[in-house]
Amino acid sequence: METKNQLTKEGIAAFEKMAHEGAKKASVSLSKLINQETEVMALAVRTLPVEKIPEIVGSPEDMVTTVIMEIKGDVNGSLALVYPQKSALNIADLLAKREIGSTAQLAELDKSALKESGNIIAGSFLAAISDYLTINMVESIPDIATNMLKATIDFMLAGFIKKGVSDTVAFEIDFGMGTTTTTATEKIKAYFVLLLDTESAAKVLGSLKKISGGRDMAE
Amino acid sequence: MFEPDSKIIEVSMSDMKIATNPHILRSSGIGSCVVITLYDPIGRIGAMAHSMLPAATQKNAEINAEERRRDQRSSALDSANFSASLRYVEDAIDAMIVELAKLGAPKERMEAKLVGGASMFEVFDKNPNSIGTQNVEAAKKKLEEEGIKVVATDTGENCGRSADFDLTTGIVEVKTKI
Repeated sequence: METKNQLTKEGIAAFEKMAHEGAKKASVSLSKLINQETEVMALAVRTLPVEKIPEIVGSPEDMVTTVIMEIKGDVNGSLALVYPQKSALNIADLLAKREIGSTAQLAELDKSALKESGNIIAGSFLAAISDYLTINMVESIPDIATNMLKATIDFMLAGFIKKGVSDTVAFEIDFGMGTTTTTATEKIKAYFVLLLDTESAAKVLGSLKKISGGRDMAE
Repeated sequence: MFEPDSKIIEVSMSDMKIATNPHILRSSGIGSCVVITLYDPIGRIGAMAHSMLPAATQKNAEINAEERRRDQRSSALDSANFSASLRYVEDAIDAMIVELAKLGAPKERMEAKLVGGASMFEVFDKNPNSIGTQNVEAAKKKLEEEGIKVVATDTGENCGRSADFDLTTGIVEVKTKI
């Protein structure tokens, strides 16, 4: 299949519309999970080289907890749910029904709960966009690491390069949680990054093109 | 700690930089990637490379060639500050040796240090065959083939690292956060 690297404005808009569908569903699932109001704070879709991915989330040394999953089915890709460390601790408290701020270090049970949060967000997101596109996408089991941002992501990026993929389509969604009941310092942020390899992005674009009535999505 | 007129030069993923005394070469947030430093203690010149994978496969090599052609047509990737071949340990070491030799630093005077090669994920990137381990082994093998001694390593385990390479002393200072 011919792959095109640069999305047109229409392509970006179509990807963003699709991502909004997924993000809305993911946001609802997340709200139910932590029993807190959850908002989609920002959403962006871009094509960029693999090496530039960490920069869309933060600085290389930022301490984070990252949950990664692979996307399987009709397309190939990866997902990362990145919690800044304070947010990881706060969401662990919410998931375990402890008072926010009572956790200083993630225990094994907290890590399992955070992995599950990744599963739920990714599952809702992928189910919504699968329906929208009529392309089958499911998430793999999750894995988790707490460390410097870039150190938790470079393994996933190396996997793309190994498969011969150097350009990715990145979906970046920022969730804000606990926006009404918690204080400003307790607010929880999570960055959801979905990466598709170029062939998979072309497959998704083909489906979006059909939905939009045949407009060109990439050049 | 650093000399007042020293400058910190960032070396990002798939990148390689050369510097001289009194500057500092820095790579931040190294996980499964491996950072290789080469230092000539006489010339006080050195290079730091930050690579993602051991060696290019045939498919990777074809893509690299295509990217190089694209780079020649467009300067868009110049600002991205990386080069496709520097993604690979073997190619990066070749590039370091060639570029340092051009500046009068022969490989016979070089000493190497390695940082990174961690296995950050228990399920997806298990040892003994994690990408990090493969990166470190590839670097050791390539340096041995080139006759360059590895004088220090801080590699493996499951921790992210940052490395500052001081070209005045050749010291590589490694920082972790956990």
